[in-house]
Amino acid sequence: MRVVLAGKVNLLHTNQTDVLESINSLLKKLDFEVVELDNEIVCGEASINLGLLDNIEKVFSEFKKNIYNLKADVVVSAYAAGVSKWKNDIPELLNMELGVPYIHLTQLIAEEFDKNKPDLKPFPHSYFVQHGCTLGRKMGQYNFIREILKLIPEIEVLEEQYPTAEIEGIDPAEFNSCPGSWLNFSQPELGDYVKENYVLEIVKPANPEYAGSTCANGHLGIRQGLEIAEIDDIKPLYFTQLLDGITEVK
Amino acid sequence: MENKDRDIKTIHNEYMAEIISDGAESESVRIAIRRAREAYRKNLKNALENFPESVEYKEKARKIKEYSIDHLEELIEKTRKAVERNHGVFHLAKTAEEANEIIADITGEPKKIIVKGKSLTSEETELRQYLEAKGHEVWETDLGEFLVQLRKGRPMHMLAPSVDLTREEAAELISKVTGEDLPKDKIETSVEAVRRFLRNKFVNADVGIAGANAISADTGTLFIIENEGNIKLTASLPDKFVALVGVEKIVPTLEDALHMVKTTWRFANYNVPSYVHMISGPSKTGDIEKVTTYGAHGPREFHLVLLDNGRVELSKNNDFKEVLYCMKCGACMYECPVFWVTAGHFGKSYPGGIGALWDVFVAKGMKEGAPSVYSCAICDRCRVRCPLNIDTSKMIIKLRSILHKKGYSTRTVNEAEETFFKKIK
Repeated sequence: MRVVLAGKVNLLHTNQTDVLESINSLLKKLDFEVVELDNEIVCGEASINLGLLDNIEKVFSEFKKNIYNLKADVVVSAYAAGVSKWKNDIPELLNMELGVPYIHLTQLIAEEFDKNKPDLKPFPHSYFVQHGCTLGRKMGQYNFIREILKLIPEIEVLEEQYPTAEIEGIDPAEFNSCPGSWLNFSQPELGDYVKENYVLEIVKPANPEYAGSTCANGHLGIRQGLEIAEIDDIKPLYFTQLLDGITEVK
Repeated sequence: MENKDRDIKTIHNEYMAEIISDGAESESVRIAIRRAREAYRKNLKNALENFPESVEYKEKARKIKEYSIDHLEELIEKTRKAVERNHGVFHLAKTAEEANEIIADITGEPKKIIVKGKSLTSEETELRQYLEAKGHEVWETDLGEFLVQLRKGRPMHMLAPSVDLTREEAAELISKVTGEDLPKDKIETSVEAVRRFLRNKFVNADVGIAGANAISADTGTLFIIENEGNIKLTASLPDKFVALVGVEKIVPTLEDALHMVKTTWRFANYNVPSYVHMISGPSKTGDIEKVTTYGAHGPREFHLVLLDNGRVELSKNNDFKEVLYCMKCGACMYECPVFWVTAGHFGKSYPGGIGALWDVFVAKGMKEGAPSVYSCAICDRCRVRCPLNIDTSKMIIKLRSILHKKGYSTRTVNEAEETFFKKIK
């Protein structure tokens, strides 16, 4: 299957090359043909979220043309916002469809694991997972990551709990706290305090060895928060980094 | 309220300076909000366990608000008729300034003693400051709001105005006004000291002023939720009682109003509040020959001052009318990652993400209200917590495109635009 990886530019821009490498490596181990999208003009989802609507038609048309030229079977991204924008906002705002399925990495990998059952080495550590705000609350995708992590031998998965969730009939993940990464674009000075507070109030009390978000933007917030709070006994680990380290090549 | 002379850069810079220095850098803000958040969640769990049917209140409450906002002008008129029928005096203020002038007229000559209940609407109009400038002695009687008055600040939460203060800071402030040396670690002695201090003000007050949580248009009845008992005294001891209420609080019927206040108090984390007042007019008696006579033990005069200040126009804006559904229960703020470190410094007259929308459309205008629109992390958790399911982050995103067109974005948003669209240009 030919997979086009969107969001590369942003991963590089935010110094998450380790995450990018792990995605490439993992997808190749899983026998996907990976094509990186090199000529993304802009983070289109950020444009919408910041209210920069003047050029988005051009941006998204260009994105669509690139995807078409790359003959993708599927477009995937570590970022949830792009997936959400193409699913919810762009059809409404621009009356435009991508024409190719655009899904989040958690979905692609969960479905692949379910189909081909790869051999996974044990991971005898605790792993705190934050459900990205857009992927979770705005798209309702909580279970792909849970299905993936369930397959890992010896892992202890930690999720943020919420005291009234059961009474209200809501998945506790709906209430997941936000690491504040979107503030990087709008008020970065404030964003640093929010990220630091997130790891101090939410991640640290869970006492994990590793922490990560389903979304690369949330993950950025966690790793920056850990850095600002000078916490070095919790390591940021995006789920593809975790999986890449324990997935055996068949 | 918009000051057209200030340039947007100054407005953003002033906002950022305050939110960082008074909010984000303050360790005590984080401690106080953490304590408040933990208490809120514990109390809410307790309330929902005792009254699990509350979860179903939400849908009906949303429907009542949708209907009410779509029929706002009709309900205002219906309320006017009901209040007048009840021998109250009805006022409709188009602007904040007009509301303050009306209340100053009702209050009369200077040097009156005025006791006031907590009201965000009065924060919007800056009523206390206005009446003080007219020469009156005005006392905030809600404990949290009293602390706000003492420190010359503004409310840091919709329901808990001093949520950012620790018990130690509160004791220190109260000691200054009562002259007592209060123990810093005992909340009870601080509460007792304020009770003693304000008792005399209640007894001698000429005018009582409060807000309301809902108004039923059919009966013209105000519903006011409270726990402290200060509203009970404010609304019954003085000769004149004035309610200053935003028009969006009107719902069609008495049953609807009760449903709205029940939903408000439950999601504001109460099993049941100590008091829920229903006030429909001045005090009266019919005990002699069944002849209704106004001015018995309670106020002789009852005034309802409804405030528009942009609300009616907003009710017609399909992109943003949801702003008016907010019941001000304050639940969303306990879940907001930005509020956790800033308290109400995220916002101006109204705090938090939903407050940013209130500031822009109602209290402050596009320009002065712009900065807090960019403090929202658009994480959407407030929607999940909101009993009315208000989609604040969606409205924030839409509003940002309007603000950007007007040139009111932050520096980094403008820089992002340059970077993002360089290739296209």
